[in-house]
Amino acid sequence: MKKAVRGLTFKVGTAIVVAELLVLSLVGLVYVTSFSVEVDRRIETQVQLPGRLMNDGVLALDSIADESIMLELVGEELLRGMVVGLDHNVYYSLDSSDLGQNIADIEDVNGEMFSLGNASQIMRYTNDALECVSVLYALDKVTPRFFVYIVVGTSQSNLSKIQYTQMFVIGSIATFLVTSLIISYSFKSIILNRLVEIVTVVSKLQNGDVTARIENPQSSDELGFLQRQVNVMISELQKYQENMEVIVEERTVQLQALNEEITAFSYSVSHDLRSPLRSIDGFSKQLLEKYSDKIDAVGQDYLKRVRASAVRMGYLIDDILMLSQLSLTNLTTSKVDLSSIVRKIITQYKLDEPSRNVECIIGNNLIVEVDERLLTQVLENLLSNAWKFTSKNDSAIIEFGETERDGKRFFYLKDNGVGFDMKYKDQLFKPFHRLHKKEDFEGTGIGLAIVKRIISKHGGIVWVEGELLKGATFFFSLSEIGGPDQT
Amino acid sequence: MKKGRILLVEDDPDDVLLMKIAFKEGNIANEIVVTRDGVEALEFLRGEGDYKERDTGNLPEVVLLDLKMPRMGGIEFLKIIRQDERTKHLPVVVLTSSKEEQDIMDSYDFGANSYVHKPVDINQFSEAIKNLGLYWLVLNLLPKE
Repeated sequence: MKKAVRGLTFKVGTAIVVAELLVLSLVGLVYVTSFSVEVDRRIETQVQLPGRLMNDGVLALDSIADESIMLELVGEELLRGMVVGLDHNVYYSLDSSDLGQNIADIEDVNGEMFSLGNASQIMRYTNDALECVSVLYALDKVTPRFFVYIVVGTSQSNLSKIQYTQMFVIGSIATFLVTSLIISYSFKSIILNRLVEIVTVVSKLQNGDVTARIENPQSSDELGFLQRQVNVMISELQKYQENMEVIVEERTVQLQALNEEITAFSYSVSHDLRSPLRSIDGFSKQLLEKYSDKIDAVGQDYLKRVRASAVRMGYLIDDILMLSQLSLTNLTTSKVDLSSIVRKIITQYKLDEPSRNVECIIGNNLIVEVDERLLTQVLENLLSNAWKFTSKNDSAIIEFGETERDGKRFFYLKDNGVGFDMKYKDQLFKPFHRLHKKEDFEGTGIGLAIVKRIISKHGGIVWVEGELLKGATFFFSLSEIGGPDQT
Repeated sequence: MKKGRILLVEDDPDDVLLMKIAFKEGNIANEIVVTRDGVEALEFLRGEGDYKERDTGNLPEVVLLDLKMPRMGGIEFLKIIRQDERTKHLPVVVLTSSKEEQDIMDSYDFGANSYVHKPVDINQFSEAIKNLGLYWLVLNLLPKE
């Protein structure tokens, strides 16, 4: 977050520097150019002045030889001054050694300039001087009579141009530094520091500190507005969070109370509901055994029914307890071999009922990561159904294995027992729903509800396929690490 | 078979009666002392209250203990007798209707020697009681006090 703000400084700083450089270069170019034009014009005016004055008749031709007048008119840098006739002979000169000579014979004088062309005046810059030849006319202002030749040194003005440029560059750098400082300082104090405040507070918020606030966001500008808005937002968040905490706390208390109630209920059912049943069964048995001579066959049948009901009620209580406690049970998973569990259960069934002829086909090494105790319960419930519903078959077949559907691993338990009508398939997994008469097959009607709940707890699904009188096949999947449904 | 007494701590008179019948059917003739809760059982062991006249040196062979009882439950009773020098090795079998894991854990944590669930089915119940008597009154050896 802080890096982002530093990045901002760099970007804004770069923009300011580029803008300043651009403006200063442009301004510099304009000023330096106009200054040098100004300097040139002044020197050109000066170099033309004697000729103009002579044509106006204000200055005498021989004044060209008067150094004091000429210096006054042209300036300190006067190098040469002469009046030359149309015959190119020097008539008057600052330097008396030139007198009478032809300009062609004088060193450094360009004879080409002395011609009566269209222009009455010719100027020419050399390396460090400005030469000017003006035509002097007769009183009629038309007839040319002489040339005035003036040479002025330009080294001084060139120097001043350079100095001026230097001054401007130095001034520009100074301005640049000062304005950069001022801009960056004000950017820092007006924008950056306040952005950093916002970033700091938002970072704290990100770390869960809802008490963080931006201090004194008094400014009425956009950033001040943003800062106040951030504060308002955090306050809302804080309120919301506190509210949520209260709600969560209330819910937790309610849930705990509910859990305690369920636990207390289970405890009470466990302890108190079984004993009376045992008394009913126990004393009925005593009646049947000790008083059989006083009770006729019908009475004895009634007592047998009482006993059977008491025992059945006992199993119902066991199953209901298990179903209700499943919600509170946490999964303890490990690698479990379902094949060996199925084999153990079947072995026990065969020991209990050696007369039954049941062929068992059990797939090998069906290993999954599940809660062993709960999965054993699932397999017991499914196997006891399979065992029970094949009890009227002469040759029963029970098959346990794995299969794949849509790339998912499923286990199945198949029997060739009495089966069921597929239109009732959804009722099978509901508690207390039975598809068979009690007289035909025993059962509490809770076994498959328990199966479904355990499979759901493992994040799997269970379903059944079957046909009346042809058997049933139960399929189930396991996500192996506990699925989304932890109820 | 040892001649010692069986101390039954059980508040349900029906269960007491059914147990007596089961012992009788199993030919276990040892005397059965019935106390209705932990408090009365402690009084019996310590020779207090109704049992002032009792010879406290004569400990029962085994205690059959219910968990849920008025005044003092089985777990509380276990805690107390396990802290007492005289009764810390007394064999205690928890005999209850509950199959709750918490009850099983607590019983063993506080020094029960065995935990037996009382089945609803009277045939299974009788079988369990007979086996209990056989084990604790015939097979089990106690340390010499």
